[in-house]
Amino acid sequence: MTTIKIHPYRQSAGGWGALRASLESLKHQGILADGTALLLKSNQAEGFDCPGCAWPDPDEHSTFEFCENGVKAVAAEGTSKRVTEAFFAEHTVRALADLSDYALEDQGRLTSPMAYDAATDHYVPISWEDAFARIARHLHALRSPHEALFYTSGRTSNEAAFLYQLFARRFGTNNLPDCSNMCHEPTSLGMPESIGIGKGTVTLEDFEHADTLLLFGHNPGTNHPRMLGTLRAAARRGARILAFNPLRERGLERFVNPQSPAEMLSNHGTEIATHYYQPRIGGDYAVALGIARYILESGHADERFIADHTHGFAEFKAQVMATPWSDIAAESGLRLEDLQEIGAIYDAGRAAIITWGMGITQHKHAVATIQMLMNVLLLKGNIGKPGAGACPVRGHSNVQGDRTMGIWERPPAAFLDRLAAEFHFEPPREDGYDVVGAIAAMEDGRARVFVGMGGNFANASPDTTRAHAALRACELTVHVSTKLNRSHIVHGRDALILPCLGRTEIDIQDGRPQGVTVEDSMSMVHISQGMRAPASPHLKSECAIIAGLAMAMFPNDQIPWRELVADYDRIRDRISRVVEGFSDFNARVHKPRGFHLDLPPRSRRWITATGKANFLAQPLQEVVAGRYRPAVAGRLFNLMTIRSHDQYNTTIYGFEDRYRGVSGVRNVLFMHASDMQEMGLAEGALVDITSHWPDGERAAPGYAVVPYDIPRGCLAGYYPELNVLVPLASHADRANTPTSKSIAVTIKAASHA
Amino acid sequence: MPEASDPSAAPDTEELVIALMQMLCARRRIGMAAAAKRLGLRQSQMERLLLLLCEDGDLGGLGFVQRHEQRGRMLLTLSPKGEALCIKAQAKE
Repeated sequence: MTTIKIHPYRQSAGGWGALRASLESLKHQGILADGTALLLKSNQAEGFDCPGCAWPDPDEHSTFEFCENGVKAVAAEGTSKRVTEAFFAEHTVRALADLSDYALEDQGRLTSPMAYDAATDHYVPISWEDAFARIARHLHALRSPHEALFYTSGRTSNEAAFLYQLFARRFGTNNLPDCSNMCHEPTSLGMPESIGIGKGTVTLEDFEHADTLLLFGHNPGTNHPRMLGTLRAAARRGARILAFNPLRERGLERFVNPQSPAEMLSNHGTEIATHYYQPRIGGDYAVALGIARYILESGHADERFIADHTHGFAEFKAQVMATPWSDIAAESGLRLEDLQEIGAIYDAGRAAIITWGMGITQHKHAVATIQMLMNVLLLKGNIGKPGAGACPVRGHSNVQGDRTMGIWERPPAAFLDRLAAEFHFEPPREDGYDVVGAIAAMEDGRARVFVGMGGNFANASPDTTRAHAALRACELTVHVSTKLNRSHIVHGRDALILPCLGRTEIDIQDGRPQGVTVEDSMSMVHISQGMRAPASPHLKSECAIIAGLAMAMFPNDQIPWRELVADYDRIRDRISRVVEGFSDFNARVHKPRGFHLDLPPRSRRWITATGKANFLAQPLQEVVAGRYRPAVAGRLFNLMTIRSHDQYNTTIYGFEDRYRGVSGVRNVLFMHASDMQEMGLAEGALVDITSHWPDGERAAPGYAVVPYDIPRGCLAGYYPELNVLVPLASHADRANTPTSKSIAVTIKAASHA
Repeated sequence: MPEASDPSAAPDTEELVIALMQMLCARRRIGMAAAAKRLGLRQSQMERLLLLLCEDGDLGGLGFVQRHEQRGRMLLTLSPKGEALCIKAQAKE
């Protein structure tokens, strides 16, 4: 019998709980003493960029620019535990497959390159040279370069990302799927059509000037906790903060800043959200539409801005005004009076910022929702003035930078032109595979080699069963990693694990320490310098691994791979000539705090087809009609996947979801108490979850229901375990982002309780 | 079927930490037994709380509180770090 500890959390986010969890994390990784010293270098001008989230660092740094989950990320990388050659000799891959994802990563840092030996079912040591030669042999044997996939995780530095895309394109393919495909791809697609750029338009300073903040579909307390400091400051200034989330999330409600003695000792945190709304899952499009309708009805739209800077207003207005309030309310899941209140608050604001996360992007209508959010900003002229703008909150620390560096399966022609001119070869022009396309291609043999630069593709991907089968169908899988994970266990016929340096570690090339650069969620580019001795003398940097592979692939190439990797300034020089906005890169990035990329919408320049910002909208009826509503026996629920407080993306640090009051387990399903009662389910009852799609059903058995403050008809459970329920073909229109926040499911009492 | 725990009214660790720190900020020193009594904790529970708040070699700890033995009686005082926290909190922000 399993005991689930469910204990509603009464405290604020942050506070002593965060200090305690941070301490436990350092203890667990066996780095209590030097871990603290290491953390003091986190997010400092002379230190390393936290390998956790992409929230920017303030200009005025405090000594402690890290958060609880940053501590966990740094501690996990700095762990004293090691996965040695002896470890692999002791365990077959079959035996490792029985370990949980937590247990796999908890073995510690990888220490030397390993190759899969099918005869013994063990990973065995291999030299770097032989590993590179083996990959080169597989790649050369392909019928076409398009049979290779080069996946990137968002931790990869700008320099490594630039070299990696250069390698893939030099080989002849744009098959560069990345983790963006699974998170903010709709942002990257929707925003440029609206305002000409696929990035946020605000800086941290804007948060100091905003009087209204609309937070859609993200949970800063867990996924980007340093944002709580920004929100706390805004709240204390009296800004109105409107949170939109189907679940009640403590981090959006109350926060005790661990650096505030008064808050720490008074037991009174700062109230974050002045207004908290719980739309039903996927109801945000209608919420944004409601705000637009309110502004239009009030007659308070910024007519001057609209006339000078926008296109398509008349059609947009007609469409919005033709949408009945009753439809808007029904689709949003909010009451009409709530929608009116939201509209009135937004209308009264002088300068507003809208933030959003994967609660917006992982839906079929994600692109439409993001464009509706842009419409809301445009209506009040809330772009291109202090304290106002769009703020997509990115996940991993350099996920935005990787895309800037050309990790993109659909690269713009201008980028390829500059790449060709700089390196004197003709890069491929046809689009490559994104994540969804890559899985399908591996399944049916169109792709036969998978190379993963970081990440954990096997667990991060949707439709787990199909994704795993796809990886197993490959002739070769290669993973550049710091720690053991499921992607090493779910491998191709031939497989390699290439261990790399972490961001906290000193990277020496040609006898000199190198720094790498990253771009945060607000387009600040800065340098990150490792401070700690590498976990093993056999590790290579990601840049060195790519260069080593390139030299094995293309001997005597015109691209001077060895020279580039000997001094990362040389890579940055090349970037400065290929990537827009990076001129004089080295000079600018070596200044303290780095530099901010030029974002045209900040100065009301619109790089769009019309030369203006565009009002774009999809009729609400189309959004509703496009949603998959299978006819099933039993009650249909809408399930969203969420992260626990003890994880970062696919990495599980532990089993404490503190703010949601769950401890010790991850097979839980958050559900409204009335729905539980209606289904005859007691707290802790086990259920089997089934998702429905035209190609069949998918099952996740044995989940314990937990009563939670979530709208009726909505469910939530943890990623990545519930990826198994996300059909590969269920993805955002045009962006192909898996609809992990909107899965049609039924539940029934578990068959094996 | 798994067993759900009773969401009882027992104080969270955070509440206990704050209560003890407030006690020490006000009085600067207190007997461990007296503190446990005021917090409603058994000795083993008090020990666990102190494991978090004191700093103890390999076991770590946040280092805000120190323990001293005085004539067979265990006393709790603020560490310099704890003193600093109290002074700042009392001065407000």
